[in-house]
Amino acid sequence: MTTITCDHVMDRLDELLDGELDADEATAVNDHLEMCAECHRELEAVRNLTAEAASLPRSIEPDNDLWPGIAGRIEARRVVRGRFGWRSPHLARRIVTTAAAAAVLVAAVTAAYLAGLHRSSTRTADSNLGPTTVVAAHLELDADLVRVRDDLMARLEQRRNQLSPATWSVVMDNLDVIDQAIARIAVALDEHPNDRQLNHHLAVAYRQQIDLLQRATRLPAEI
Amino acid sequence: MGGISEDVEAVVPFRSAQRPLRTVLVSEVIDDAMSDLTERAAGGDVEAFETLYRGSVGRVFGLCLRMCSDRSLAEDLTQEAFVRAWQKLPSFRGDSAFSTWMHRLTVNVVLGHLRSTGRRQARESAAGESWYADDTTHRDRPAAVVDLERAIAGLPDRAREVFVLHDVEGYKHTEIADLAGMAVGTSKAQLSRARRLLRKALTS
Repeated sequence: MTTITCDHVMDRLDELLDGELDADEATAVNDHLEMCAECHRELEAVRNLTAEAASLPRSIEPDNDLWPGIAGRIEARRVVRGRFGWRSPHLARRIVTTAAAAAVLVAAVTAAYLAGLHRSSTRTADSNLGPTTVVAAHLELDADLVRVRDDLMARLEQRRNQLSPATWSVVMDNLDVIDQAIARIAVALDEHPNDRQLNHHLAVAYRQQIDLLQRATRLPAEI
Repeated sequence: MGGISEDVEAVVPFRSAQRPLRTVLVSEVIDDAMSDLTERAAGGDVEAFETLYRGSVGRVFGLCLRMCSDRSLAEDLTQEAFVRAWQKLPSFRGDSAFSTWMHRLTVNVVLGHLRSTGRRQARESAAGESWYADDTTHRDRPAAVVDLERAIAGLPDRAREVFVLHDVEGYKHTEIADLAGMAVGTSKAQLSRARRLLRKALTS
């Protein structure tokens, strides 16, 4: 029989209790425990500790109802959920950068198209069609941004019968492109919430979308 | 025995031989309900997701609280875990129960947060000033449980995380190593350290 010391046994108690010793060593440790009252007491102490830990209540209710906060964040991101999942953060970053750039370009081209429509129909209209400073104040809060956008969407919807199908189609197609860019950025932000570049991309995409909506809602009637 | 029970038992004798019929039926009803809720939530039903939240927030918050030992931070992490779950639900394939999936997701959220902040160093120096020091939820609990909770809360961060995952939540060392990005040997060493520190704290 192999003789082992108390120190050796003490070092192996956790593995013995967790069933992670090989058969020979477990036998040697158990033989020692049968003869050594001090080591046996230590074993019982560890056994009691693990039993108490395992019997602790798993559920602890928070003092506050956390649902309103969760619901607010869910509503703010509802439009973007689960549409673009991927594993590689590097790929995600590259796609997001491309998407954001595409959204900005599309919005700029669309804005020029809408501005052209505007100029051709009236010379008295306000040429400064991008009051983004008003919107920028809301950029910190997704919920506020979604509300602003929804308000603008509702106003645009009311004017649908006044716009030509071609104009309507341009606006809707490009809103969808920017929506997709926002979706991709939001998913990437879940993985990298403190990434300043991603936050910047998100702010730019929101600003572009709202700016596009503001321009569209100010277009003169075509029909 | 009544006719209905006999009929049902005749249809599913292999189940009734293993577990009481009532247990089987209740369990199946719950499983079906949970599956339905999960499916609806994955499809964008916020009310269904709220029901899932109400049913699991205690487990999620308890895990966050024990792992980070800070009530305010635990609330933030609980919210983060559910928002993350909402985002990821469409990719939930139902291979495991929602509660199991949610539990693992929460562990990832907590560990990710603890790894990404410098909070660990602050916690090491403030060991003992834990959520349990001024908490009111333990007033009606046995003294031994209170002492143990307080001792766990006072552990160094990494030892506490491994102890909570292994001894309270029942994770294996290989799972902890995978989740926490550490070697299996490190997980075992941290568990031994935690148990040693706890026995010392509880006997002093």
